[in-house]
Amino acid sequence: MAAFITRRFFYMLVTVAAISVMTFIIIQLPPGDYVTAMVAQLNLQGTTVDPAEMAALRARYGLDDPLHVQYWKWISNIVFAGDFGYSLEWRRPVADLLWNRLGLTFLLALVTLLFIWAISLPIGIYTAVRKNTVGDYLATLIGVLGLAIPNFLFALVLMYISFRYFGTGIGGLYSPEYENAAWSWGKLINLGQHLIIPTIVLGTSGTAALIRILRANLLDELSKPYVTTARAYGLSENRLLLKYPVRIALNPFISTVGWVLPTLVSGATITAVVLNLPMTGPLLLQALISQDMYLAGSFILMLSVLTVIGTLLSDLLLAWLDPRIRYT
Amino acid sequence: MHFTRSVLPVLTLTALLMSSAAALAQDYGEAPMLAERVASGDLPPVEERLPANPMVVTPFENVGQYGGTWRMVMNAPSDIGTLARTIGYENLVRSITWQPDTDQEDIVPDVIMNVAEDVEINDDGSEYVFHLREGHKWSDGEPFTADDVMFWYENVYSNTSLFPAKPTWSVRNDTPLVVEKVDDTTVKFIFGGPNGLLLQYMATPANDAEQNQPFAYPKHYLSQFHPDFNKDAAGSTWVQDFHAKADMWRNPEMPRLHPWIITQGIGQGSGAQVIAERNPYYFKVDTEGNQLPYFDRVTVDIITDPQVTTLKAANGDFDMLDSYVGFVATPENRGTFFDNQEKGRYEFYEVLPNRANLMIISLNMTHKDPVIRELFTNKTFREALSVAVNREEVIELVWLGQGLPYQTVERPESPLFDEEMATQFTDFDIVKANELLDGMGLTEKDGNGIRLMSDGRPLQFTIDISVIRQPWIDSAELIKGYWRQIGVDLLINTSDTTALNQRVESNDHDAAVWSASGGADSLFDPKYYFPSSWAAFYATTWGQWFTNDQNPEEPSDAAKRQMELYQQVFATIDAPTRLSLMQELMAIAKDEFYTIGVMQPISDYGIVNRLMANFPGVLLASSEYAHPGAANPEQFYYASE
Repeated sequence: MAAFITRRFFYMLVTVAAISVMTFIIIQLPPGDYVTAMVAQLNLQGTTVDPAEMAALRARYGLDDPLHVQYWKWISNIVFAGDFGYSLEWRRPVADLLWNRLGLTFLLALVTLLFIWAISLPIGIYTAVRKNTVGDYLATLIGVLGLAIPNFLFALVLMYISFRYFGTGIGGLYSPEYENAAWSWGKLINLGQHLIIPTIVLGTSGTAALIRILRANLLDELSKPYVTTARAYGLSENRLLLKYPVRIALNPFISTVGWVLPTLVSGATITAVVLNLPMTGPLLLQALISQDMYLAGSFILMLSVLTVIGTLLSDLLLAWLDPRIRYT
Repeated sequence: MHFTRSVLPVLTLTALLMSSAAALAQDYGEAPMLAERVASGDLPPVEERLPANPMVVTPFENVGQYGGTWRMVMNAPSDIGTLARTIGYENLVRSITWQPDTDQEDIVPDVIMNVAEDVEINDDGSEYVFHLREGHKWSDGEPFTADDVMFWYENVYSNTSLFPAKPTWSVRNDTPLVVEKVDDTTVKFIFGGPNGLLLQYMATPANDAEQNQPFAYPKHYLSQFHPDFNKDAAGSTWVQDFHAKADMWRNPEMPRLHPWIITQGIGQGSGAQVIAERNPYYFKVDTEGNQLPYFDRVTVDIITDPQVTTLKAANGDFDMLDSYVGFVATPENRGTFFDNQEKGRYEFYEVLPNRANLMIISLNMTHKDPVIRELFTNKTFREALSVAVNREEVIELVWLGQGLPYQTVERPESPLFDEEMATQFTDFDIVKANELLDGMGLTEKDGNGIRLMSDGRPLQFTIDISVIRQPWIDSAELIKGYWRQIGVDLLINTSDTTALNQRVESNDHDAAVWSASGGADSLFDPKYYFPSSWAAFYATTWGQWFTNDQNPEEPSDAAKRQMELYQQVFATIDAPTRLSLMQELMAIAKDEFYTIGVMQPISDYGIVNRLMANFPGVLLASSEYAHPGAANPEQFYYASE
């Protein structure tokens, strides 16, 4: 076990290092740099920037340096000083911006994960046990609809409904009066209300897949001899179901836990943009648009690290859950 | 040395208002929240906080009431323009609150005093003496004096690490500005030659965070981060650190002169909102001697998605927005906003835009390919393309009928407007267009009916369009169809603005689409009327010649004459002379017909909280005229229902 973790850890380091190089190359690929993006934005508002001023800005931010010099500056600061660099657009340290938003992002990730599980677990079991009944088809239909509707569209529709009929809670995580208030019950409840739409939007797209996987796995298990044996011993149907087949069928839930974090941090981007949530996704998108390279680069690096750690975690969990898994 | 009083009549008016304020001096009013702080000993009394001669702002309708929060929105962390033009418009001088009945002889609205109390200009406009207000204070209570201006001049402006490039307004005849301190409240600006537009320039809003402006650098605070004063500050990152400290939108500690001071800057807190609170040392009072501003607080949400901004605005979450603040008051959204007026508790106001044309097509006349260049530089060719555009149809289908079929021209309110220039080559006539092209000898066609150029290649070119405005792309599709009928094949290439700029800067584009602004913008950034920078998409390399930028190429004689005229505009302080010089410049632009204009928009609109009082019903908007700052946001207030 220890050897397995050590080996995995070493692979992780190599993977992350490779990713960091790739990241840096990719964010440099679009034409221009932060200064050209900034000038484009100013142009839009009718302001033209002096060429000399542009050159001065490039020199100040080190955008004139060759790519490998820029990369080394960035990565050596992260590795040796824990300094993720400076966001050119926000003009603040990248780390500040990241930590600011990660908390809420994780909160939403957690709530969404629980939501997905709370919905797909019972439905998955139900559809397997009562397969090919009206209830099965109905649950499947709803699940597939959730998967099929694009998140951003769903978010827009829900937002419109909430605007049209409830008149409050459009976008953001708090109402204006709570935006900068200290923590209180009122603020917590307000946050809860604002989390409903994003949770539904993000959750529905994940449920269908899990329902189908659980249903298929469970169907496989249900016909196995041990189930018949247990039933013959007179175990109650519910106890029987939950104790053995469901536990084994849970495999996909655990093996995808590792992907949930990065998916929510980045995958929920469009939803978060539409709903104006102060999460990490919109920050990353904005950083990419404005070619704020240290911010974008650090973000992608963080995401990669999260994915790698998440994968390790789910591997360990799986090993614990499923006795068939061997690590050699 | 001999000085003449400034010739602007408005200055005299301000001086009159100033003297009436002096009479009130013993009897100033202040906001309840400040009165409490005075009572608790936290703040000095209002008379001691105000300068000896506070600036008196005449409220637009009536004297207001204190309190409330002004809620606004900005569209990106880099959108500091919105902050600069709403809560940060406090320059040495400022533009008047322009209204439709304003008599205006100059090209741009008149300039009045602001942070500076008075100015004296010498005969040729090369020396400006600014008088600051006696007893004027920064927002932390420290005095604002000539020393602050000198700190800016000696340690910031002249420091080549901080600012390697000097701003254009400060350089005349290749000589940078020299500033001298006369006494504690007087500074003298000496230029290398006549600087006729200085006051007008100083009245424009500063859209850049590092605005490099004389009144934006408090010495007592910033000197601690400057190696000239503090040896410890001289690290390898001091330039970046200094700029960060001097950034008034991101550093709440930075003292300033604005009506509201930032308490939560861009990116602080959750990063979703900027907050500012009243400046207890703000130097303006209303006509009854009440210290401004009326609003206690300002909140500015940072929302990047326009749909969200639109919905929130329709819900009444913001107190004011239009196509310059919030950027969502588009013709398409008018219906949504109209339907939700009751619910959102807002009303409409009129915005006279400075936008001279919402869509101009620039053919690259300095194209690298000699055959295409010869074609594009031929005025007859451009005329043929222009008359082949069915502007009425484009306006009806794409712009919902909200525009006039005009070429790139100033707006009718401007003294530079020319009816003939507006309507030349705008009559839709496919037959005539075909005749013009035939007349140029482009008679050979390929199997698809596309004309062949002189070297036998089909007459096909690409137009680059930025994806930021859908109507451009929709209009281009229509235009592609019209031009097909005259045997010209248009390819549409949509891209990000950055990529488009990159192509244009290296002169790799065939043609491109953009909008044109006018009014004050034409005066300071006349790129739509002659190639004054690379951003003149119709003649990039000529523009680069004018600015000494990369790939310069000697311009045509006409363009060179325009450049000469433009230099003279800057060298004259006499408004009528300036106007006639600009008219001459425009006449050449009309004759040269650089760009094909599609439509000039009719007036824009904005929405404003119904309770917002002292808010003009008509506003003038422009990137160089501080909209809505010139309407004195410090005197806006909420009327009780």
